[in-house]
Amino acid sequence: MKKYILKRLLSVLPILFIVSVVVFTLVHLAPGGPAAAMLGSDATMEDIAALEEQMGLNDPLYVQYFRWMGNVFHGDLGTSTTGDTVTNMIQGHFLPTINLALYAMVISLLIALPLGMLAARKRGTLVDSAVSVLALAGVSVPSFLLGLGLMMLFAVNLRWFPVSGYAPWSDGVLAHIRSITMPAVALGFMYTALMMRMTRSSMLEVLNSDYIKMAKAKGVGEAALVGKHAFRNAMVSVVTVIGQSFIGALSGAAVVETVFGVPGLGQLIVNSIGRRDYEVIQAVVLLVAVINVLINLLTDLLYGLIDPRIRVS
Amino acid sequence: MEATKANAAYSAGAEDLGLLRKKLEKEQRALRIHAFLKNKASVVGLVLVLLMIVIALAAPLLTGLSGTDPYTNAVTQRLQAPSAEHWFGTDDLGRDVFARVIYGTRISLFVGFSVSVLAGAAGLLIGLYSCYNKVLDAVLMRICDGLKAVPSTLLAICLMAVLGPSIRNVILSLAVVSTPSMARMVRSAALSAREQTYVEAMTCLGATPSHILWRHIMPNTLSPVIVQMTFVFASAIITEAALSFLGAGVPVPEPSWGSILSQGRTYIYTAWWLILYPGLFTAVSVMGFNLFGDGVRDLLDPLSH
Repeated sequence: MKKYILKRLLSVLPILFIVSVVVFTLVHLAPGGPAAAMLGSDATMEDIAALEEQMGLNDPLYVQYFRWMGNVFHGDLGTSTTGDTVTNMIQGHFLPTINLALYAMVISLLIALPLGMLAARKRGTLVDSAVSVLALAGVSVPSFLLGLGLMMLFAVNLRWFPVSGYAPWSDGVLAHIRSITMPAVALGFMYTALMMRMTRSSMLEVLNSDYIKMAKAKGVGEAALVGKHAFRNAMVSVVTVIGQSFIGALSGAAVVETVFGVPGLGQLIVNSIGRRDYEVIQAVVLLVAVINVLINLLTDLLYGLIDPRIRVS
Repeated sequence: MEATKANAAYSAGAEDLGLLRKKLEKEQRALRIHAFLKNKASVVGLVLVLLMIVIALAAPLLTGLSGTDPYTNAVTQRLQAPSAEHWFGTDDLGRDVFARVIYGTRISLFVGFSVSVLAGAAGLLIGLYSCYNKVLDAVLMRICDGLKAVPSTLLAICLMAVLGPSIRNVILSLAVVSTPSMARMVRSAALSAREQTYVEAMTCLGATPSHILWRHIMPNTLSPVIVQMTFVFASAIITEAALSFLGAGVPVPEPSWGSILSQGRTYIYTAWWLILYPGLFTAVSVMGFNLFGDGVRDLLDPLSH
């Protein structure tokens, strides 16, 4: 296990390097360069040249890259056009997004695992078809559309939830949950569908295997059969989907946060687009990409934990 | 004399075999199409896709029937509920929502089509050449890994922020976002095709690498590419709507479903029609392409699941 962990940890380093290069390149793709793009179309040539000088954009690209990376390693992610440091801004917007994504995952798992297993057990019945339809709806209705629908029904008409806004934990658990439930459902619906599909198909695969037939022949009861014997093996592929869904939720939060006015990273990015605040965009993209790489690492390690065969190969 | 007779018989036999093969292929195709048509879900998908294409093509005709157009402002008629005059109501500038939703179909389908074609072509090129050159492979696949590490919605938003809102940039960004997984898939299909004995035989016969690559390996990667393209189509429609909703996609005053929905968000207390109709069109077309994609996958790649 130690060797497996070490091997996986080392394999992350080159990916992180490539990710940083990709993110760095993205921002330098701006037509006319970042300085011209930041100042907008009415900027004079002198203004642009001055800002380019100030931002160090006249240095060779690799110098700029290493200066940026050096700063990142010192915790300095740059300065926003609002004058605040990017690190500060991210700290202020980080929690709502993480809360939202985690809550979305919890809701998705609570719905997807039982329904997926049920559909696998009742294969070919009405229950199975209903689950398939739900899964299809999940991948076809975009999160922001579902969010608008929920908002219209539960906030505008029934008034069960506030239309928008975000209450942090400090406002009380109930207020927090109330403010974040609709965004979390909207965000999580698609991942519910994906997890449900995955749970169903991997459960079916496992239920068809010989050792389950053997257990059945030996008289193992339904609950122990599904819960104990099949569940663990079926989980291996579901764990990957959970990891990927969490990342998808972090990135998809941008749109849902805008719908519900949640002051998270997504809203930070969307507002930064209007301000042409490239350093903020760059930093948030880098942050999410690094979290993504780390979660993939964690998923792989979890794999090794759940299924010992993976450690060896 | 004998020899010519034998030759004639031989070539007649070969002709028969060729005919038989063609006949069998035809039968197999008919069987698969039959299976596709027997699957209700794929047929529903096909119908929805065709419906959307017809709506997009007949947009001028349809708006001719309603007697409206997507661009005319009429401030005196702002935010009117659906009526005989404005079938889907009007938006905050008094523009006809029916005409905007119908013309929005054109934008969505155009974006979806362009993105899936671009991503398919780029994925084919990158995937095929990376399976033939180790250095190229290492470089291209690392770039793909780097791009894939940034979640797709975020990458699209970031690209749009840098490039600026326009239909061309939406297509470009979404193609960049969809290409890495396409290339990965082509590469793995091409790698397994390259190991086949007939490729070895072609090499021994002196076929050039590019001949083998394009005439013999490429056809083996086409089915997964086409299947993936239908799913890219669906997700491009979603992401375009999301980008336009955020104001970073198709610029105003173009009638994108996403930007109509964003107006609906502003007037959620009063104007439900700004959400219902564009929302319905988005969901139905995405569902159509998803169902159609599932059907095409079963048609082209029956062993996939």
